[in-house]
Amino acid sequence: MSFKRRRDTGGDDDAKPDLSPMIDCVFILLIFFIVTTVFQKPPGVEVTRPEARMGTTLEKNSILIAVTADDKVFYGGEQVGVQGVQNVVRPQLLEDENIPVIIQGDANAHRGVVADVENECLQAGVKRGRLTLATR
Amino acid sequence: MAFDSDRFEIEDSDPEPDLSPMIDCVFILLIFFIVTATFVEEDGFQVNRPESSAAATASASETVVLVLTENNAVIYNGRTISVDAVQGVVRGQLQLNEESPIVIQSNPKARHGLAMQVHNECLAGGAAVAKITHTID
Repeated sequence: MSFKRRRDTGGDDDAKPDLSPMIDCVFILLIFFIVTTVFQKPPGVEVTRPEARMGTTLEKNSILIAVTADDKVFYGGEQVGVQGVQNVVRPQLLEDENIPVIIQGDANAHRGVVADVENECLQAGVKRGRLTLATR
Repeated sequence: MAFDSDRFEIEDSDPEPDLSPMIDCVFILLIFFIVTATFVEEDGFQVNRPESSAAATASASETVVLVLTENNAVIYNGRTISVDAVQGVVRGQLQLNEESPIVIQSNPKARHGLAMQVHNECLAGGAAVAKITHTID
Protein backbone atom coordinates (compact mmCIF):
# COMPACT_ATOMS: atom_id res chain seq x y z
CA MET A 1 0.00 0.00 0.00
CA SER A 2 2.64 2.45 1.05
CA PHE A 3 4.77 1.39 -1.89
CA LYS A 4 1.96 2.02 -4.32
CA ARG A 5 1.33 5.46 -2.96
CA ARG A 6 4.95 6.37 -3.17
CA ARG A 7 5.11 5.28 -6.74
CA ASP A 8 2.02 7.26 -7.59
CA THR A 9 3.30 10.47 -6.06
CA GLY A 10 6.64 9.86 -7.68
CA GLY A 11 4.89 9.64 -11.01
CA ASP A 12 3.04 12.85 -10.32
CA ASP A 13 6.15 14.74 -9.35
CA ASP A 14 8.55 13.38 -11.89
CA ALA A 15 7.20 12.07 -15.11
CA LYS A 16 4.21 14.21 -15.79
CA PRO A 17 5.82 17.62 -16.17
CA ASP A 18 8.64 16.14 -18.25
CA LEU A 19 6.69 14.07 -20.70
CA SER A 20 4.89 16.42 -23.03
CA PRO A 21 7.88 18.47 -24.29
CA MET A 22 9.76 15.25 -24.79
CA ILE A 23 6.92 13.84 -26.84
CA ASP A 24 6.84 17.03 -28.90
CA CYS A 25 10.52 16.72 -29.50
CA VAL A 26 10.35 13.04 -30.40
CA PHE A 27 7.47 13.70 -32.75
CA ILE A 28 9.40 16.40 -34.52
CA LEU A 29 12.34 14.03 -34.93
CA LEU A 30 9.99 11.32 -36.11
CA ILE A 31 8.38 13.51 -38.72
CA PHE A 32 11.77 14.76 -39.85
CA PHE A 33 13.02 11.23 -40.38
CA ILE A 34 9.84 10.12 -42.11
CA VAL A 35 10.09 13.03 -44.50
CA THR A 36 13.80 12.59 -45.25
CA THR A 37 13.70 8.80 -45.56
CA VAL A 38 13.49 7.50 -49.07
CA PHE A 39 12.51 3.95 -49.42
CA GLN A 40 14.76 2.30 -51.86
CA LYS A 41 14.40 -1.22 -53.08
CA PRO A 42 17.78 -2.91 -52.78
CA PRO A 43 18.75 -5.13 -55.70
CA GLY A 44 18.93 -8.08 -53.35
CA VAL A 45 22.40 -9.28 -54.28
CA GLU A 46 25.83 -8.27 -53.13
CA VAL A 47 28.23 -7.23 -55.84
CA THR A 48 31.92 -6.50 -55.64
CA ARG A 49 32.09 -2.83 -56.48
CA PRO A 50 34.74 -1.62 -58.87
CA GLU A 51 37.44 0.30 -57.06
CA ALA A 52 37.29 3.96 -57.99
CA ARG A 53 37.82 6.86 -55.69
CA MET A 54 36.80 9.69 -58.02
CA GLY A 55 33.13 8.77 -58.00
CA THR A 56 30.63 11.33 -56.83
CA THR A 57 27.90 10.64 -54.32
CA LEU A 58 24.82 9.46 -56.14
CA GLU A 59 21.27 10.43 -55.40
CA LYS A 60 19.43 8.46 -52.80
CA ASN A 61 16.04 7.99 -54.35
CA SER A 62 17.01 5.89 -57.31
CA ILE A 63 16.24 2.67 -59.07
CA LEU A 64 18.98 0.20 -58.13
CA ILE A 65 19.80 -2.51 -60.63
CA ALA A 66 22.62 -4.97 -59.98
CA VAL A 67 24.68 -6.99 -62.44
CA THR A 68 26.46 -9.89 -60.78
CA ALA A 69 29.83 -11.39 -61.65
CA ASP A 70 28.09 -14.14 -63.66
CA ASP A 71 26.19 -11.49 -65.67
CA LYS A 72 22.79 -11.93 -64.06
CA VAL A 73 20.66 -8.81 -63.72
CA PHE A 74 18.86 -8.32 -60.40
CA TYR A 75 16.25 -5.87 -59.25
CA GLY A 76 14.41 -6.00 -55.92
CA GLY A 77 15.76 -9.43 -55.05
CA GLU A 78 14.60 -10.99 -58.30
CA GLN A 79 16.54 -11.91 -61.36
CA VAL A 80 14.94 -9.88 -64.12
CA GLY A 81 17.44 -10.36 -66.92
CA VAL A 82 18.46 -7.71 -69.40
CA GLN A 83 15.07 -7.94 -71.12
CA GLY A 84 13.25 -7.25 -67.86
CA VAL A 85 15.00 -3.96 -67.19
CA GLN A 86 12.57 -1.91 -69.26
CA ASN A 87 9.59 -3.40 -67.42
CA VAL A 88 11.20 -2.40 -64.13
CA VAL A 89 12.14 1.11 -65.14
CA ARG A 90 9.10 2.21 -67.14
CA PRO A 91 6.47 2.18 -64.36
CA GLN A 92 8.77 4.20 -62.10
CA LEU A 93 9.44 6.70 -64.86
CA LEU A 94 5.71 7.30 -65.11
CA GLU A 95 5.70 8.41 -61.49
CA ASP A 96 8.83 10.51 -61.74
CA GLU A 97 10.34 11.07 -65.15
CA ASN A 98 13.59 12.35 -63.67
CA ILE A 99 14.23 9.36 -61.44
CA PRO A 100 17.90 8.38 -61.42
CA VAL A 101 19.04 4.83 -62.12
CA ILE A 102 22.08 3.33 -60.41
CA ILE A 103 23.59 0.25 -62.01
CA GLN A 104 25.67 -1.72 -59.54
CA GLY A 105 27.91 -3.69 -61.81
CA ASP A 106 30.18 -6.30 -60.31
CA ALA A 107 33.84 -5.60 -61.06
CA ASN A 108 34.02 -8.99 -62.76
CA ALA A 109 30.86 -8.63 -64.81
CA HIS A 110 31.24 -8.34 -68.53
CA ARG A 111 31.24 -4.77 -69.78
CA GLY A 112 28.89 -5.76 -72.59
CA VAL A 113 26.15 -6.88 -70.20
CA VAL A 114 26.39 -3.71 -68.14
CA ALA A 115 26.25 -1.70 -71.36
CA ASP A 116 23.16 -3.67 -72.42
CA VAL A 117 21.48 -2.71 -69.15
CA GLU A 118 22.45 0.91 -69.76
CA ASN A 119 20.93 0.73 -73.25
CA GLU A 120 17.71 -0.78 -71.93
CA CYS A 121 17.43 1.99 -69.37
CA LEU A 122 17.96 4.68 -71.97
CA GLN A 123 15.43 3.02 -74.28
CA ALA A 124 12.92 2.91 -71.46
CA GLY A 125 13.30 6.68 -71.24
CA VAL A 126 15.73 7.35 -68.41
CA LYS A 127 17.03 10.88 -68.85
CA ARG A 128 20.61 11.32 -69.96
CA GLY A 129 22.75 12.21 -67.00
CA ARG A 130 20.41 10.35 -64.66
CA LEU A 131 22.01 7.02 -65.46
CA THR A 132 24.93 6.18 -63.19
CA LEU A 133 27.30 3.32 -62.44
CA ALA A 134 28.05 2.53 -58.82
CA THR A 135 31.61 2.30 -57.60
CA ARG A 136 33.22 1.95 -54.23
CA MET B 1 -7.34 26.08 -5.46
CA ALA B 2 -10.42 24.41 -6.76
CA PHE B 3 -9.17 24.86 -10.26
CA ASP B 4 -5.85 23.26 -9.38
CA SER B 5 -7.36 20.14 -7.92
CA ASP B 6 -9.69 19.91 -10.89
CA ARG B 7 -6.82 19.95 -13.28
CA PHE B 8 -4.94 17.35 -11.34
CA GLU B 9 -7.88 15.07 -11.40
CA ILE B 10 -8.28 15.33 -15.11
CA GLU B 11 -4.62 14.68 -15.68
CA ASP B 12 -4.65 11.76 -13.34
CA SER B 13 -7.54 10.01 -14.93
CA ASP B 14 -6.99 10.77 -18.59
CA PRO B 15 -3.57 11.04 -20.20
CA GLU B 16 -1.41 9.03 -17.87
CA PRO B 17 -2.49 5.52 -18.76
CA ASP B 18 -2.34 6.36 -22.46
CA LEU B 19 1.04 7.98 -22.72
CA SER B 20 3.71 5.38 -22.10
CA PRO B 21 2.69 2.81 -24.75
CA MET B 22 2.40 5.65 -27.22
CA ILE B 23 5.91 6.82 -26.38
CA ASP B 24 7.18 3.28 -26.80
CA CYS B 25 5.53 3.08 -30.14
CA VAL B 26 6.81 6.46 -31.28
CA PHE B 27 10.31 5.57 -30.17
CA ILE B 28 10.26 2.36 -32.14
CA LEU B 29 9.10 4.27 -35.21
CA LEU B 30 11.75 6.87 -34.60
CA ILE B 31 14.53 4.31 -34.32
CA PHE B 32 13.25 2.53 -37.41
CA PHE B 33 13.34 5.70 -39.46
CA ILE B 34 16.76 6.71 -38.16
CA VAL B 35 18.15 3.34 -39.14
CA THR B 36 16.60 3.30 -42.61
CA ALA B 37 17.42 6.94 -43.32
CA THR B 38 21.17 6.37 -43.26
CA PHE B 39 21.03 3.09 -45.08
CA VAL B 40 22.18 3.60 -48.64
CA GLU B 41 25.25 5.59 -49.63
CA GLU B 42 26.18 5.16 -53.24
CA ASP B 43 29.20 6.50 -55.05
CA GLY B 44 29.51 6.31 -58.77
CA PHE B 45 29.94 7.70 -62.23
CA GLN B 46 27.54 9.32 -64.60
CA VAL B 47 27.12 7.36 -67.80
CA ASN B 48 27.56 9.25 -71.03
CA ARG B 49 26.70 7.88 -74.41
CA PRO B 50 28.38 9.10 -77.60
CA GLU B 51 25.21 10.77 -78.94
CA SER B 52 25.00 13.10 -76.00
CA SER B 53 28.62 14.19 -75.85
CA ALA B 54 31.05 16.24 -77.83
CA ALA B 55 32.84 13.10 -79.03
CA ALA B 56 30.73 12.93 -82.17
CA THR B 57 31.50 16.49 -83.24
CA ALA B 58 35.12 16.86 -82.15
CA SER B 59 37.90 16.13 -84.54
CA ALA B 60 39.22 12.61 -84.33
CA SER B 61 42.82 13.64 -83.71
CA GLU B 62 41.98 15.38 -80.44
CA THR B 63 39.89 12.57 -79.07
CA VAL B 64 41.58 10.25 -76.63
CA VAL B 65 40.40 6.77 -77.56
CA LEU B 66 41.13 4.12 -74.97
CA VAL B 67 40.33 0.63 -76.18
CA LEU B 68 39.69 -2.13 -73.67
CA THR B 69 40.18 -5.52 -75.21
CA GLU B 70 38.69 -8.92 -74.53
CA ASN B 71 41.67 -9.89 -72.39
CA ASN B 72 41.47 -6.71 -70.35
CA ALA B 73 44.33 -4.75 -71.86
CA VAL B 74 44.14 -0.99 -72.33
CA ILE B 75 45.22 0.16 -75.76
CA TYR B 76 46.01 3.76 -76.62
CA ASN B 77 47.31 4.75 -80.04
CA GLY B 78 47.98 1.15 -80.92
CA ARG B 79 50.10 0.51 -77.86
CA THR B 80 49.14 -1.43 -74.78
CA ILE B 81 49.40 0.76 -71.71
CA SER B 82 48.80 0.05 -68.04
CA VAL B 83 45.79 1.39 -66.21
CA ASP B 84 48.04 3.67 -64.19
CA ALA B 85 49.37 5.28 -67.35
CA VAL B 86 45.89 6.39 -68.43
CA GLN B 87 46.00 9.35 -66.08
CA GLY B 88 49.20 10.65 -67.69
CA VAL B 89 47.85 10.20 -71.22
CA VAL B 90 44.69 12.10 -70.36
CA ARG B 91 46.55 14.85 -68.56
CA GLY B 92 48.91 15.30 -71.50
CA GLN B 93 46.10 15.55 -74.02
CA LEU B 94 44.15 17.98 -71.84
CA GLN B 95 47.16 20.26 -71.70
CA LEU B 96 47.12 20.40 -75.48
CA ASN B 97 43.39 20.93 -75.62
CA GLU B 98 41.21 21.29 -72.56
CA GLU B 99 38.12 20.35 -74.52
CA SER B 100 39.40 16.98 -75.70
CA PRO B 101 36.76 14.31 -75.41
CA ILE B 102 37.69 10.89 -74.09
CA VAL B 103 36.16 7.72 -75.44
CA ILE B 104 36.46 4.46 -73.56
CA GLN B 105 35.73 1.81 -76.12
CA SER B 106 35.23 -1.55 -74.45
CA ASN B 107 34.99 -5.01 -75.83
CA PRO B 108 31.76 -6.63 -74.53
CA LYS B 109 33.91 -9.31 -72.90
CA ALA B 110 36.09 -6.84 -71.02
CA ARG B 111 35.67 -6.58 -67.26
CA HIS B 112 33.27 -3.93 -66.06
CA GLY B 113 35.68 -3.22 -63.22
CA LEU B 114 38.43 -2.36 -65.66
CA ALA B 115 36.21 0.12 -67.50
CA MET B 116 35.41 1.78 -64.17
CA GLN B 117 39.10 1.90 -63.24
CA VAL B 118 39.94 3.55 -66.55
CA HIS B 119 37.06 5.98 -66.06
CA ASN B 120 38.42 6.75 -62.61
CA GLU B 121 41.89 7.39 -63.98
CA CYS B 122 40.48 9.73 -66.63
CA LEU B 123 38.74 11.74 -63.92
CA ALA B 124 41.94 11.72 -61.87
CA GLY B 125 43.73 13.06 -64.94
CA GLY B 126 41.46 16.08 -64.88
CA ALA B 127 38.84 15.16 -67.46
CA ALA B 128 35.39 16.68 -67.05
CA VAL B 129 32.55 14.29 -66.25
CA ALA B 130 30.68 15.18 -69.44
CA LYS B 131 33.72 14.58 -71.66
CA ILE B 132 34.10 10.90 -70.89
CA THR B 133 31.98 8.59 -72.98
CA HIS B 134 31.66 4.84 -73.11
CA THR B 135 31.15 2.86 -76.26
CA ILE B 136 31.03 -0.83 -76.97
CA ASP B 137 32.79 -2.53 -79.88
